[in-house]
Amino acid sequence: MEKLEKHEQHKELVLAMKIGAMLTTCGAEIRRVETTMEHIIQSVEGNVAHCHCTPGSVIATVSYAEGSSKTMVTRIGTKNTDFKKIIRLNELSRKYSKKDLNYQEALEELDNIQNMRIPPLYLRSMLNALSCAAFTFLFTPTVANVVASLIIGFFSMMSYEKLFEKLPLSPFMQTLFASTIITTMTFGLFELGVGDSVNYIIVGSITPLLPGVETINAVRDIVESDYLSAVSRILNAILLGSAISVGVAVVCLLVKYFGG
Amino acid sequence: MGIIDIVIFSVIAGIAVIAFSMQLNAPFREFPFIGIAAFVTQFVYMVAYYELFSILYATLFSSIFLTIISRLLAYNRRLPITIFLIPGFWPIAPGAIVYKATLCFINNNLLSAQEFVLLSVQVAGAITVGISFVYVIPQKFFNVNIPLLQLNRNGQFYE
Repeated sequence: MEKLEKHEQHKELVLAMKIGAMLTTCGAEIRRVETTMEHIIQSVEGNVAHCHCTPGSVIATVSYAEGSSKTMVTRIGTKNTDFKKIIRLNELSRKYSKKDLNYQEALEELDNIQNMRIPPLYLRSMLNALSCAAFTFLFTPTVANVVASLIIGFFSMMSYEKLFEKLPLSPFMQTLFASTIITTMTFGLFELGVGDSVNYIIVGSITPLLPGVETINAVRDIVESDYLSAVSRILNAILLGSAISVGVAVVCLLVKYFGG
Repeated sequence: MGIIDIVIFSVIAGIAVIAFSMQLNAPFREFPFIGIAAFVTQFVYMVAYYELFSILYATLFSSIFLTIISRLLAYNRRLPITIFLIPGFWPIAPGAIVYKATLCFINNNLLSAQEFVLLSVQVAGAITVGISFVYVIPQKFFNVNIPLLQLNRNGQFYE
């Protein structure tokens, strides 16, 4: 990509690929990624763009006015949903298409977006605790269960995020370990006398792990007739859902086996 | 369950979704509107559930309302619909049903497990149908200016 960047002719293609890859990583739907890339490439008069995106890769071909063409493929790595990045990338592409930004400014803005900070772990854990407690309240509105979920939501996220920092795992294994930690903590707290319904505390606490982003994006891809990416996302959602179930089931079976 | 209880539950759902959307790095200024989307979803879900006593219809109607409010918010806030649609989905996600199916499997109660698995597939299908149903309506029908939803916004609308 660095070599191509030096060619004046290919700069729109390079920028489109960078933005497309980042949008896909941040959880944008396929149609948004493809149209954004096409807007950028076709901002130069005479360029014709054909972009194809799946959750695992981004492909773009540009046909130049003089008759030559160029194709680029980028592999998408780990996904991490980030709404602020989606919004800023969307704005960046539209500004670039309207010539409100030049190439260098767009690259600088892209770097800024890439280096945007996420909230610190303690804050994310507190928010996770709040959402777990609120979801538990929806299932069983008792103070004991809500307090148990608050504790589990905070400490489970602190522990599994710390674990994943030191031990890089696939998303499936991460979800499995996270649900195992949540279920173990729930049984531990229940033994200590905090909470009165193990089932609903677990349900409330695992709700933030559910593969909602994948599910909703899969539905939107189906509506937009992007069946390839829809199937890929549905499969991912099923796998992550199964990982949650397996994580919970393993701990429940152990507790049952040891007479809990 | 009375209407006051339903409102309280819906407010709690809004709080849960706001806290969750902070983890997805949603912009601070959009939190009240994400909360509104979640409130409407949970409110419609509970009203439909206690009127029709069907999880499927409740999910279907709530996902229809979620998509409508998300499209209205996307236009009025000048933001991608993803910001409102994805967090709003969480209160109606079939997490409890999948959990019950797992429990039944562990207890070797395969018949009930099968029922819960089927129910979770049906609920997922209802969400799909609900979102698709509204999503195929052209955007111009949702280009309605609602001043209350345009407070403290920036940006320009891109369909």
